[in-house]
Amino acid sequence: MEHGYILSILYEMALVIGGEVSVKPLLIKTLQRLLYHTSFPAGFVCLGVPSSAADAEGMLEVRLDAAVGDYELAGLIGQTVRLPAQLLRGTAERGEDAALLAALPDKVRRHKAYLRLPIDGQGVVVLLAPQLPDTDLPLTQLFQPVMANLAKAILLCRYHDAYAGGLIAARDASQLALTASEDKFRAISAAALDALIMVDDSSALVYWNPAAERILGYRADEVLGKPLHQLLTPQRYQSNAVQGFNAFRSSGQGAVIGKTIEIEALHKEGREIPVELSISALKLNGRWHAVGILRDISERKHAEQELRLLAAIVESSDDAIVSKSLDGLILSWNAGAERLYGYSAAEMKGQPLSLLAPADRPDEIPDMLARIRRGEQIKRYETVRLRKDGVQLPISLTVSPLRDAAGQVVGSSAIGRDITERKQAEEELRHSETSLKEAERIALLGNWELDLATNVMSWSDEIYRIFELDPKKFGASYEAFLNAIYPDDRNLVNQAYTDSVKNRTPYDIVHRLLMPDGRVKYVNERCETFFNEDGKSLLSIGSVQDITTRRLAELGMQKSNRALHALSTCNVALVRATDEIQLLNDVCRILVEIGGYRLVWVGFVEYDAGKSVRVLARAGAHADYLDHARITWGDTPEGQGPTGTAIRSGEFQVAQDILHDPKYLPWREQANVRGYASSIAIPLFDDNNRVFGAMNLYGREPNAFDADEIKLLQELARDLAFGIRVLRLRVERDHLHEQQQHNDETVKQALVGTIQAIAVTVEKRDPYTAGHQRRVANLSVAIAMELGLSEDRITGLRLGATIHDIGKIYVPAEILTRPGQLSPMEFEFIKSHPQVGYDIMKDVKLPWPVAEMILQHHERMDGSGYPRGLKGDAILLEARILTVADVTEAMMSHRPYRPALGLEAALAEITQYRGIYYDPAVVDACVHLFRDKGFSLSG
Amino acid sequence: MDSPGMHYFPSLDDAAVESLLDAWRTAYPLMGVLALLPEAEKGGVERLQSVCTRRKVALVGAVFPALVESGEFRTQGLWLLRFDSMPYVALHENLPHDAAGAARVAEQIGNQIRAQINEHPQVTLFLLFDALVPNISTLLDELYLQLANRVHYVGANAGSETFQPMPCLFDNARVIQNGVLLMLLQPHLGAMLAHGYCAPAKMISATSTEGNRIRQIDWRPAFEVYQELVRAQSSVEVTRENFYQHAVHFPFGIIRANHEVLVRIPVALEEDGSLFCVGEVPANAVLTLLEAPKIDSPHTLQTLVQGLTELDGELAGSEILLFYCAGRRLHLGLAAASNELRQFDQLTRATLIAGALSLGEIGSSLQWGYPLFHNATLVATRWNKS
Repeated sequence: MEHGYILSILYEMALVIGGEVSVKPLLIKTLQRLLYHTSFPAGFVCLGVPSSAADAEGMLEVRLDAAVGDYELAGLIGQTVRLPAQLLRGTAERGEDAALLAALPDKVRRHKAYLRLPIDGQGVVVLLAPQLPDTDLPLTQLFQPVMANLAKAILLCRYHDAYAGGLIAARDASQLALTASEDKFRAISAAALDALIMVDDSSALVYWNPAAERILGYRADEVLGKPLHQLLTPQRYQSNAVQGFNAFRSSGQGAVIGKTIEIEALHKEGREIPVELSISALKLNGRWHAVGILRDISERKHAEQELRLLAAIVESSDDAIVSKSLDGLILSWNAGAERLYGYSAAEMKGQPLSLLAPADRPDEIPDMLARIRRGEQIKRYETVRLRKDGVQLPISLTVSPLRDAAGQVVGSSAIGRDITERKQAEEELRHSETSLKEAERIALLGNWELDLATNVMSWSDEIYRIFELDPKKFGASYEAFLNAIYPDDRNLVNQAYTDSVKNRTPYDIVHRLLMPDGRVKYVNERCETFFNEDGKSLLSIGSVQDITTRRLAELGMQKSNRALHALSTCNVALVRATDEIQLLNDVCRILVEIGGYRLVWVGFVEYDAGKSVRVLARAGAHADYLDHARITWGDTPEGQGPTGTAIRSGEFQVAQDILHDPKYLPWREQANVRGYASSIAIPLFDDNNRVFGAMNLYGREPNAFDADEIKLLQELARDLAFGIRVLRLRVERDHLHEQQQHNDETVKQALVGTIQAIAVTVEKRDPYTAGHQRRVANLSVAIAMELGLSEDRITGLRLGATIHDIGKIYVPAEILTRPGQLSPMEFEFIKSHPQVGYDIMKDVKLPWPVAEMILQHHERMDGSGYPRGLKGDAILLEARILTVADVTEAMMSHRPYRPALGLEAALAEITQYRGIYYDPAVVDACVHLFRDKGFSLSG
Repeated sequence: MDSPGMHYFPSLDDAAVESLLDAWRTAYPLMGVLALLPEAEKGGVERLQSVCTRRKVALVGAVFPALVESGEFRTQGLWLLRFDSMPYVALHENLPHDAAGAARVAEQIGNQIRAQINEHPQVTLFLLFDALVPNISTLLDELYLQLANRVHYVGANAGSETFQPMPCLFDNARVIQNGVLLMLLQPHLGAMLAHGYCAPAKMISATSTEGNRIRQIDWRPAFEVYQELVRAQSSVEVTRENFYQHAVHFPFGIIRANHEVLVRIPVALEEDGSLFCVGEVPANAVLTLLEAPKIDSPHTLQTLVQGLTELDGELAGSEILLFYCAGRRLHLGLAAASNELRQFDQLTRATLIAGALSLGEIGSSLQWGYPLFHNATLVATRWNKS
């Protein structure tokens, strides 16, 4: 190994170690470079390995100062760990010892090899690897100088860390003290109610506390550095203020320094505010500063102003306003008192108040004075006083204690008002109120008042009766009123009242009340609000009339009409329905749209493990309710709801109040948020009187289903079940019909196929007539089309013609194929083939007279044919066509006993015997085909 | 038989890609893909993102100078590598270049990775860096401080072979540069790295460096010394113009005490005469000039295949991901480099080898080795096998 190579590594390590000033990065960087150079992937450092003996397991407790490359060890940095003493102690060593390294806190036990490098009395570096990395360098020796260097670096870094730590601690401490002091000042300044302002000797603002912001409107950042006078001093004071400040700048003296003055200051908004200002001088860094404490005295000024105003009001009041000492001597007597009692102020000042007391109330004034002494206020006390002229005057007195600055009661003030007119009015009113109450009771009409100034509400007795509240337990209040309103109607009532006040128009609405026992009442509420001249609302007066009976009757009528309308529309849908699901959806939709129900759905019974109810149709608000509701007809808690119970019992189930029905517990919350207040489930029955589903309806209100409505809905459910059964029958019938048609067609096709197969067999036996039947069939069909036969008849004719010689199956093949003349007996054999063919086909059930066609195809119009010698129309038209086609084709084709005679000979033959042997119309059609339409026999 | 987890498309055909993704997703509903594209196809990244987003397939990927396929380097086409179950991935951009910033980012990444690691002891952190990140070694050192041997480290550098800045790392929505794409493969046994560059001869010192720039060598301007060294040892006159052409044959090696070197290929010459390498060169690192280094190809491949086999068992029939350094290809020449690819193919008898021409590689020549940032190496790992 080259010397230079090793030196270069030492050089680099020395630079790395020398480049660090703190212990932690020093150890990490050194470990990283050691790992880099040695290919060991992990390592750790313990600074200070104790010299004490290891424990029984050979382990030492040491602090782990650094670790790189081992996840578990890296998580233990800074902690005390147990490591094998044998690994930590000893000279530099490179080796493999899996057992020793198994004691490391490495769960995976990955390390098997190590390189120990003691740090010259400062601890140890241990590198770890799964296997010993290859190297040809003497690593233990190589790194000795590095470790020596590291030991010194650790000492230096420790000093540095301690020094830096000390500096930081000292800095932190002084910083803390400074911060605490600043915080304290800031807290005091922030908490101060008075503005604290400081300006320097250039009159620039240098301090501005939160109270200054509050009083003068400027934020600190808006004013700091700006000239004081320009911002805060009203124009009229500016000249003096600037002059005074110029003197202050050099001497710290001034006319207002050390004094408290009342002056006006400019607010940010431009208005002036009265302030009390105390100014003091302060020298900072050799420059004079002025500190001002400024207090907003707007309220005080306002109070003084009000006091003056009050005195004027007292003097000008119509009421008698009198003040007196605690022993009852009159101290003041306003113009109102002069007018009311007839005495002048001069007469009454210094006189006892008892002058005004009637003889029959000797204790009244002493009692009142006693109460005043106790600090009580006497409000609207109604009594009688003697006027100067001896007349007894009914008055209302409000007497209040007068207190000195220390709060001690020193006298009283009394306001007296003449209530003669009111007393008379009250008497009249008392009489009319009795009548009104009786009228209200009869009309179920109550009235209320809301004094908007005091927010005091009052109800008539009838309102308590309508709301079913005990006046002794419930006071008239807006809360009690709101609580009694049906929850869904509260917004309506609130809005009506708010709009009425806003638009200054009376309102007249009908809304519901919810009684504690769940009953609903309907009331007609009217209200009007009165306003003063300034447009301020003063008083709302309203009436509440119980119209429950009338309204229920109306609603019942509406509901019945609606239910009947819904029923009749559903019946129309039932009659017109062609699809079951469509029908169910239509019925649900009609019941929601016309019947006014909030949700309607139909579910069918499923015979699955969970006995579920399958929702087939739904309509209405928040129908997603059904996606979350687990509905079953099983005997489980979820099966105890109306639907499950209706299906199990076969009886309709009503939940008149979902909110309070215990059976509804599993669905209550979801139903409530969707506005379902009541529900009914009605079972649907099949032909065997077995329940196959249920129709479910949800109302918007409790008690939505009365007996009449339930009867109608049951009728509808019966109709719906019937409709479903009819639709199912119809579907079944259509299906059967379709299947029958399909079967018929299949049978027909099979027969035709079989017959055609037979025809081919026949032809195979007689090569000379091979293809004869096919050609005859083609010509027959062409003639029939010419004659305008129906498509179905033509199909039958094609079939008959295709097998018209089927009887030849019994004619020996040698007779059929032998050239030359036939003997009479042989000819008889041949002549038997129509009968034989008929016998073969007569029992085959076909929609066409195929057997007859075969039997008659050798009959002639004049009765000269065989086998039966039929004549004219007695011969089937199809047979007549077949005869002409048979003769024509036979003459045009080669036969064993003769060569082909050709088209002309054939047409000559049928033309010659037209009307004799052959049907003339058929002959004409055949000739027309060949002559005019170019028909040819082929195949 | 499972469907192959890698597929090469000779050209970027949206319909074909969609069809493959659909087929893969049917068999692996939680799948995601890693896409490797050659620089010439970088315009296709946006299309690929939109195809994957349309098919609701999670995508990550990178753009390299070229792809490796069937023992050849390809400048066209696309590799799609399937994650049977999409792992934790993260795309970090604007990586800081200062030491404190690197430590901060590594701590963030460490925290994120720790939160994602499951119970399995064998976990691999797969890193694809933008090659122009100048402090990859520092970031690796910091990551190693955070995660130590809790994960295996494997990675490569993406980007342009011209070393011009280029957004080269992407996911379904973003394409970024100056960043890193992290993928946490678990369980996964890591990767193997080999280079076969022979031992150094002459020592010099990088006396002034800044990240991946060597400003001074032996206290003199770096390029001046570099020119002298090359001239003295091979009579080649390196100029600004022919710099890259020659520099790949005269890379630096950073000395290690285990007699191994860490190759640093200078790839650009700055205006001020400093040399720009792929990968950091620590200040005062002792360097050697690997003068026209001899590469022991058979030994490299043998080491790589043996290491992979020891790591993951028999390689025949397996699927392998391979990164081949662009600098190594330049130094060896296209023919020899392609030959290395084919030999690797034959030695492994793998069913499929997907890969890319990389601009620097991350890994170790030993399992649980210290993760280092290399140049001129081959890095290989099994795909989709725990």
